[in-house]
Amino acid sequence: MNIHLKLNGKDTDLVVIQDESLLTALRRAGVWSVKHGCETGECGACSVLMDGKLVPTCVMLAPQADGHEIETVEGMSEINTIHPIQKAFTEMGAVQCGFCTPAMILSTKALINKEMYPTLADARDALSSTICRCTGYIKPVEAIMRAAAMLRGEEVPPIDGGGIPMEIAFGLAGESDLGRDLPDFIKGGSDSEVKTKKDVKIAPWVTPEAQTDVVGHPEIKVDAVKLAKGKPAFTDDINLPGMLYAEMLTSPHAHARIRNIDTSAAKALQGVHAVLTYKDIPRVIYASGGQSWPNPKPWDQVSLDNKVRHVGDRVAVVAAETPEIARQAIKLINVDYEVLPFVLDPRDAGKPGAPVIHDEKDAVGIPDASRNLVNIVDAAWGDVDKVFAECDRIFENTYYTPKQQQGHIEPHITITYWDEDERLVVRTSTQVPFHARRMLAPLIGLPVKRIRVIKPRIGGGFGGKQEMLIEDLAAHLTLATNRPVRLEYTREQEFTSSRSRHPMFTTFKVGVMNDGTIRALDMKVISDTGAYGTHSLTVASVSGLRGLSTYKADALRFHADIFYTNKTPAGAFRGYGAPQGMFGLEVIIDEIAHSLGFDPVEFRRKNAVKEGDHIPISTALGEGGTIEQYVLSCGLQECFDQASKSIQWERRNDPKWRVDPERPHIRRGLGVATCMHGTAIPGLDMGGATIKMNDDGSFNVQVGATDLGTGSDTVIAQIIAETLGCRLEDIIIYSSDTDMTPFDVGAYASSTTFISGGSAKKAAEIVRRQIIDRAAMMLETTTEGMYLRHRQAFAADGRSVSLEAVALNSLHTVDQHQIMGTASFMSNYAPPPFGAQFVEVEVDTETGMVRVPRMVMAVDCGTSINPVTTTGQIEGGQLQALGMAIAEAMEYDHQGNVLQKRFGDYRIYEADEAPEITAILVPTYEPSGPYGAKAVAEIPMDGVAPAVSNAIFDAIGVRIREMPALPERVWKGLQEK
Amino acid sequence: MKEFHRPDNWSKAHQLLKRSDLHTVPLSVSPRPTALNDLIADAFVDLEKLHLNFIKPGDDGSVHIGALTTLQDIYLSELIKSQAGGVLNEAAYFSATLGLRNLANLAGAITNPENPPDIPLVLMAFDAVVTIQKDESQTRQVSLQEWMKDCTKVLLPGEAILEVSFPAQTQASGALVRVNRTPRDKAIVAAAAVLQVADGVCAKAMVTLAGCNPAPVRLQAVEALLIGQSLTTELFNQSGSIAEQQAQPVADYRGSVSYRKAMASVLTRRAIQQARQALK
Repeated sequence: MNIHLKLNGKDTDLVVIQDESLLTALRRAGVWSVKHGCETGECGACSVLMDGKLVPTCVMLAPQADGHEIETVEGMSEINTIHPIQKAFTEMGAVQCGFCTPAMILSTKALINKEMYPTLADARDALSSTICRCTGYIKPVEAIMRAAAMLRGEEVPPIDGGGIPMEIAFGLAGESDLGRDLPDFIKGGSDSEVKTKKDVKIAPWVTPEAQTDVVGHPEIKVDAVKLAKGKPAFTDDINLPGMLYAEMLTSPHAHARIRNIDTSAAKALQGVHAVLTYKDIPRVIYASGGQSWPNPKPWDQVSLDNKVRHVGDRVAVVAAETPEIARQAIKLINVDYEVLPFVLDPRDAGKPGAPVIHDEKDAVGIPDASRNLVNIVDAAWGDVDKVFAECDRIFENTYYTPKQQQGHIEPHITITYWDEDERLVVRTSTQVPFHARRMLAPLIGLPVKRIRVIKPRIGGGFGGKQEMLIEDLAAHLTLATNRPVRLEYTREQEFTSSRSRHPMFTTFKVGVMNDGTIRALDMKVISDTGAYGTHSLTVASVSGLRGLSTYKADALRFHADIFYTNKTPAGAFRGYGAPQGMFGLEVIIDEIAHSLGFDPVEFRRKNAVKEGDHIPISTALGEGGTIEQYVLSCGLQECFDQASKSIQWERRNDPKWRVDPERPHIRRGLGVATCMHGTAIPGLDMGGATIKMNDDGSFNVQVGATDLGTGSDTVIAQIIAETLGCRLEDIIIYSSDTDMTPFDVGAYASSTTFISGGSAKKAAEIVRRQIIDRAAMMLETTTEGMYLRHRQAFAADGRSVSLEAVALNSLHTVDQHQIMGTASFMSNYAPPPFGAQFVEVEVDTETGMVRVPRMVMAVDCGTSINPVTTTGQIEGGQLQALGMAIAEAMEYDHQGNVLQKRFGDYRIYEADEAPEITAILVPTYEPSGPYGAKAVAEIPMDGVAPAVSNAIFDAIGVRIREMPALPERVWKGLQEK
Repeated sequence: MKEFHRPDNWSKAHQLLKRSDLHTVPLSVSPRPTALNDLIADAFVDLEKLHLNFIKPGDDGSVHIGALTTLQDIYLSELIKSQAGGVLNEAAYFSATLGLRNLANLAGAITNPENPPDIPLVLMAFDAVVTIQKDESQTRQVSLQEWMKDCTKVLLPGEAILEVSFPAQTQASGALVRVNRTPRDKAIVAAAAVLQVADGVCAKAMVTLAGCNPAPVRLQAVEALLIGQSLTTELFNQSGSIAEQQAQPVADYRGSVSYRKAMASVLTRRAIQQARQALK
């Protein structure tokens, strides 16, 4: 049918299907800023302004828009112009992955149209319709306030400042080389002394007051403008001629064997081009986790199997002319299941008589399939039993962390097609394009060289896209049909058929002396990997690493048993085992501190590792092998200082603060947790970068690094710009395309700034030397003392030549040469970032409800390359972590059905209920990282849950050892007190 | 493919809705919307042109809210704010975030049992009545209390909700209390109380409870206890006990039977207590 509407001010006729959503109709019309995040109007990514009011379009029938006025961000600006609201969002760092940004900008527009002087509460209400998994809503709220001021015609403060001392960035000698300050024993020498400076000849331009020009500055993200303008930047923002739509048939049973599948009726349906089952494609065993070669075992999956192991497991896949036909075809597939017994609790999975989930003969690397035992991890350092025997006190308890879902707003989506060279192009929302290409090849029987994986912008990943999850099915369908195929998960499938955090039972036993010295730590884990073992080994290993690295001890021991269950598989999720390990650790540390009469902060300060310390568990336990690790930089004590001051830690001793006379059933409390993470996987992670100089002194950069919204493209560009003495806008960065960019392992393990940034730094150093060589030739001088700054190459005598002149000279005049450089970077050293997490709670003593008014985290991530993107990570990470502490947990019924299949039921904090969140940066200089940087992405996940639990104890004297702290759980604790 | 219609008068609407060959339903959006692919109907009738978006006082001071009035309009309405201290505005706010409040409407808020309970709970405490357009010229009325016993089955083929109305609550105070995981989360248990006190004695009491029975209920035993009494802490506690005794909860992953029963007591007491405090 035809509908008539005013679209962005223009009278528009659209041909729509009567029962399709307005979202679908708008996207078909090329309005790409309107995004699909769910089907129930709850994520808000699909919002538009209808007659000036914000409405979600996924729950509107397209004909409902007939006669109305629809506005989207496409109508807010033209080429080379930007609306003040869009500008404010880019300037304030409110754009992370950018998937929900257009909806947030429209919310802002509607608000400011109505109220020129919005309050913070107005801003939070306006944003409440848009679930943002990245930002914690702090910067979007600030953007609204800034936009309102701009639209009122007020002057707004410039976004500038920052920078780090040149002395730190380039060293006193003006050297740029990565790792110049590393101690010799890290570099591979024999000297074991940790050194941070050298005796050097001081470069004249490295004055005490000189600051860097780009690094350390709050630069606007390189992709922020296009995302704020809603440009077609994401996987699904493309229309290919002849594209087919894929749908999956998934299992209704937790465990069943497929006796037979009859697809004849589905195949006969007009418009259906392919129906694939286990009968139609080769059986190739693999592991879906996007990890380095060879993938950690077990290899226990095939693309389509004759057995299903969880509700939501793959059964068949269809490609058809329209999504509606594909859905109809799915209903016509007749499956004959032999329903099998199932097991849902990992503590039962290894017991005699438990159903065997992986009884297939061709699975590789399952230690004991008959007991559903996926992996066992053992590690020890020191004589644990002997040290325990020497301890004055021994504490032991078990802690549980739940099955949290990543909840990225952009669902998994892949589009596959043959290009003109008959190579398969896989356009996909992935964190691991290079791993995906390598892993996909054997499944579809194509060599790696015939596959190109392109990662456009990603609407969030959080580990959920560190998985080769659906690329194989789309590829199989393109191979079967020779047509482009689009396969996208629904929100429900994200809960039934995707990945989650591994739920874990963690038992800590800690031996201490009466003076508060920790002597021994023993950690035992039961991990639930669900139906497949992807990431199970390495996640559990990280739990042990993180659980046994933070505090010094004379003996350490770790044991993990990882079991299969008939639930949705677990996988990678931001934090990657650390939140599980750190929860138990930081709660038992609190319990010990209270029992021994210590202030919880002081007890942590006393026992935590410090600069120069050895991390002994690294000799016995690692993600990519064991490589001995040290602490070369540590700002933890300063983190405690600043964060405890910010949260007003002393309030916990004030009885008047703890009880609200207006609300006598409320008790207030404060909690603390130490955070310590890793930076990349030592000895394993690697990234590459290529830089070439253009005629105008700008640079094209190709990196394999995968920006999933974190701002890594920007940070990498900042590192390069600083090294090459140019501005950020002189860097044109292109990332994550297996044909065009160097290899990179991908975005995981808090590695990108360190590893990919390291490769960028090294490549830039190569280019820098070439520029200096050419400039010296042009100025007829030597290279000694030359440096690059302000788009110039300066000689020691003060003369200079512009980078443009250098480029033109090099490309066109004499001894022509393309100034360019390629480098890769790996590190045997994984410098730990540190943090102090504080949380304030209010506990309702009658209902058990826990409210969190405020969270504060101070983080030592070395040098912050971009303080806006860095604090954005810390703010957003804290809120995501708070979800696991308060509300987020996938629950199952007795038949193995997940109970939360939509947002709302699966509760993610919205803008108007999120707490005040503070991020404090405590700069240190990490000698192994580019410009002194180490990681920040995952550490905000580590401390919130234990700090919440500890704050609840502080408030009501009840220990919550099982997350999330649901009202009933806390209420039961109160009843049992 | 499902049909979509937007008639410009009741006659056409009724002709469409009464069809027996096609399952045809009036289009409404609930604050907890169902995915379009999961909507069970062969045809939808959009009543947008029938002027059902209104909030207006009746001649007797009663309040009439049109079926297609959005939750945001209810939230912002000054007339609604003047009723029992604005407790219905609060209910509208907590029922959905801004975008869904702009789209979801009153009809949607009372026709999906999975909805957040706040709006029906408060309207039940207002003693609200649902007016149904039976056909072109006839209407019928059902009390919301009856309606909510099974809100999916009251509407018969050919019918559409016209409005919800309730007696003026300008002299009353109200309170809505909830227990949930996060402040805006759908309540696990919620209670509403609307009170009127004259000369220190409770002249009117309407108390409702959700999450403790298969459907939201009015606690008439509690109301009977309160009316004619001077409201004391002891009465508040007794009210809670009655609510707990009468509760027959259905457990889910958010709350067990025992928890819901305990909360029936706590929240009923709190709702009455807060409504009483609001009178001061």
